[in-house]
Amino acid sequence: MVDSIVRSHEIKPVIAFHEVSKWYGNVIGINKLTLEIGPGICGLLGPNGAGKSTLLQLATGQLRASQGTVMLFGEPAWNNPAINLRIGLCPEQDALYEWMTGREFIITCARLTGYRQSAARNRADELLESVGLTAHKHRVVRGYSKGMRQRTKLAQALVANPEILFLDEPMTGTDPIARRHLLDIILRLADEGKTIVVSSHVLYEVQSLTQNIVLMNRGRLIAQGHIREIRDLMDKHPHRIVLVTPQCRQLASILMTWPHVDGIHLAPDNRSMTVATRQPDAFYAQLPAKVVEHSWQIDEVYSEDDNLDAVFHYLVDR
Amino acid sequence: MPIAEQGYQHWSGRLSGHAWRWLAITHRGVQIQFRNRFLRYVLFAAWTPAFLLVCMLSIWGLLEQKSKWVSTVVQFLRFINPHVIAQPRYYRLDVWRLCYGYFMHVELFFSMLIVLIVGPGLISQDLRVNALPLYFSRPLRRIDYFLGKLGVISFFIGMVTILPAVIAYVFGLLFSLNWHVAVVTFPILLAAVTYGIIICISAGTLMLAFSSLSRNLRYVALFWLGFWFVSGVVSDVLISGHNQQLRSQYYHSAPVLQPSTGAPSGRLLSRQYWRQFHSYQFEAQLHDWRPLVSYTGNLNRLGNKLLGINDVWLKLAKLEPNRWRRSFLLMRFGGPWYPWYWSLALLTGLFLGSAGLLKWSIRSFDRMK
Amino acid sequence: MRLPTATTSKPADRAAPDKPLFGPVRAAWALYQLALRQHRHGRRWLVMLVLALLPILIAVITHLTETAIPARSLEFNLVFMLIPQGLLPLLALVYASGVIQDEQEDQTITYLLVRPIPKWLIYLMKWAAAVTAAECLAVTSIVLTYATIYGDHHSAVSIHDIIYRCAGTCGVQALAVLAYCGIFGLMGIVTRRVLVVGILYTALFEGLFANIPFNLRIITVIYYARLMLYRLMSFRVNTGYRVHDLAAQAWNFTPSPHHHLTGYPPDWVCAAVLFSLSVILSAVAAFVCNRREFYVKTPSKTD
Repeated sequence: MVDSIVRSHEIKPVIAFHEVSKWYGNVIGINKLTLEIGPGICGLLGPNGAGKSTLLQLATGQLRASQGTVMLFGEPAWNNPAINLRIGLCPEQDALYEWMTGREFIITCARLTGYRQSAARNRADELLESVGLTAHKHRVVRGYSKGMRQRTKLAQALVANPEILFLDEPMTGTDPIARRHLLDIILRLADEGKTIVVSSHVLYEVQSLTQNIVLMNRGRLIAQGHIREIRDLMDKHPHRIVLVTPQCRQLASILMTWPHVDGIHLAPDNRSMTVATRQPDAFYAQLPAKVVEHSWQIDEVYSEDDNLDAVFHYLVDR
Repeated sequence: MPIAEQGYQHWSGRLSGHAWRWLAITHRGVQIQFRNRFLRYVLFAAWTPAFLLVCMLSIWGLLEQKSKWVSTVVQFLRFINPHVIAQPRYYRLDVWRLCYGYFMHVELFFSMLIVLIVGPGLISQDLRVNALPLYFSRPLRRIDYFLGKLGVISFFIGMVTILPAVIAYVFGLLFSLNWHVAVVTFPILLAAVTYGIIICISAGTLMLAFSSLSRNLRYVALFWLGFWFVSGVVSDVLISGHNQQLRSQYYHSAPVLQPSTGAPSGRLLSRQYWRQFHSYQFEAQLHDWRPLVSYTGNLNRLGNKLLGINDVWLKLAKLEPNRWRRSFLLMRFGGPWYPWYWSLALLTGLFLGSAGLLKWSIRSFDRMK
Repeated sequence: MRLPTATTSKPADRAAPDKPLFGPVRAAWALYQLALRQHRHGRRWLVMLVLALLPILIAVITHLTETAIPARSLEFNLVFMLIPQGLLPLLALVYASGVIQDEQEDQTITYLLVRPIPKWLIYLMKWAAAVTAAECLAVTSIVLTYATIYGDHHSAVSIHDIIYRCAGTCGVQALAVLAYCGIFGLMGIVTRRVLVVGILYTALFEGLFANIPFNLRIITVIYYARLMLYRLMSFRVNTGYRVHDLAAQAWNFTPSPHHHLTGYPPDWVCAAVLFSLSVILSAVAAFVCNRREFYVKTPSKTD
């Protein structure tokens, strides 16, 4: 059984949770979580109610851990307003000061960060341009589309030019074009050297941003690290490799003699087969030689498991 | 035997009519409100006057039976005219009416408080979380929705007005040991229940109308507070000013009895003349519109009419030999005295206005943004 | 379609937030201004303005219907009874109780919590803005009520006397509003049902206890305000049939034969009580706020 798989990073962690638990009355939000997050983009994944938002609120000092410690840059996150100059949060809730224009909102956030009035105006214009809202900056926020609202929230998170950016479900409710915009912005910010923690339950969104993930379920940490590494460590679930070939049965009869092949499933149309193996590297090493030896025709070879969806479902649904 | 299909199966039953659709909304709403511990405390506190009502009716029943159990309690009833205590059967109806009148007066306050706790979120929260499409995408009419929401408020108001009134009535009958009492006093129960229903409908529709105006709970609660609390204070101020005006008018209309001696303006009036002021004041009250400003005052006036409180005090006041004291008693305890149909018209207008506002503000999907 | 190229300048190029010494001060001032703007937006200020103008409406109705009431009597009923007992506590309740709760309900409190402003300072700045809004409405109501009552040029009271009375009333009631804001601000932090609790407090303490001639009334705000007002100005009214001391009668004071309130707390004690009440309660509320968590989306504590 795969218990917590925690990888210690060689680079000094930016965000560190140590034995953190958080409960609300009788409800446990986070359950004895120990986690370190280093620079780069980190995807925080989990189903609804996994504790992702709670984790982000603990990291940004909005909530206090019932047990354990939460540290940012080696300083406690709770009741430490000075550290807010180094972090930015794009919250999940779709709430803004609806009566303000986009520009007014960012100016207000900048002034709340400590900017002078003139500096706040310049900073607001700069940020609105970077998120692509210059044309709409004088419109009231109430009239913004969902994508524009998400970009506005992202802009206010960047006001203090933070070193860490927390994005809580940033793509929620956005259309594909807006999602693409946001993804490009996030990737660009990562290129600038920021540490970005993206929380989402939409797997392909996170997969398009990063391969470095943290998986949570029911308040517990399930796994952390590179998707491929996690997959390789999951010895309970054999890898599934799909071979598309017209000579399914002949190939299957040979593959079944290999000791590291657990099982073979033939597709109903006899055009493809799925091989289950616990040693994918050994399988890949042996296969070409056999194919050449018997002159089989292989049209396609791919793995169904080298993606986040498979990793996630294996770990969460067990 | 064939293998049964495990997938979706179409339900081919018949939908029930609209008669009870609203009950689902009421049922769910009441369940949710009962989770509020603060509301449970208020309901508990609201039952204290009911307990006192039961005690009073029971004591009066024992008094009629000349029970020895009640002899020790009679000494605490000295605030009641001894004539009344000496003839408990004759004054049974009047005492019952007065007890119910005071009970409903106190429960009116608790009803307003309960509406303040239960009511603001009924429609405003649905607007806030955009739940109206969930309601109206089903075969639910607007009237079903409104009745369902009104049912939630009515349930809790009924719990503190109608239910205790009925229970107290039953206890009163039991302690009377005479079923003829039921025939004589049944109109009082009917009046109390009717009054309770009027409070439910009036306060309920008004609160629902406020709730439909804003998505913010606090603003709705403020509207309600303004209507209930502030209207009462404004009414009191206007009445107070009017009373001062009456005093001044009465003073200036009085004949001068003797030259100025001590009185600042040179007019000295006899004590007898001042005592007649209460009658003058009482006459003025018969046509005073100022109590109409108070929302709870209007409900109170209707309740007084239904329970016949005015008639009770007219009867009890005759026991008082002094005319001026009679007027004083009527004014102080028997009021309000202005025509009850003024309050009825005002409350009817409020009800129609609330219903119109509800109809305008909740226009099914048109309301959605 | 290409996105605009990144123009986020490097740290050295852009105007960075000020150094910590002045940064939080500017941020606090910005928060105060934001809170004031929030009070001006929406329908709430309109509703509160209507409430604040209610005494004026009553004064107009009274002028039209009751012609024999002395101006002083009307002034007492409106300025010294209706406004302090009905209007001021309600104003303070509406503004001060929502200092944090409004932001929590709108889910915008997150934007304040992730700024480099301590939570206690967030509370104090928003509380200060609430006090400002409540005081403005209270003073406006009092001044306009005086103008309506004495504006008909037929009153026997001199203009200097009217200005003195108006200014004195504004000053004392401003202290009372400050104290109420302290009370309701703390209530707003401690309980979610602040409106109901606030109304019960107002009805019980300021409505009932304050009018009972026992020492119980020393725990009410209105008692101290009334003492200061009684010493500041005269409430004796000649109604024609006698001279009333309206305040002594209505407020259950027993003045000496020369209309002095001996045996009651002196003015400086009254002022100190009201001021220190607001300071202490707002400090306590700020302390509690600093230690509290504000749940926005995650489940709150179960009952």
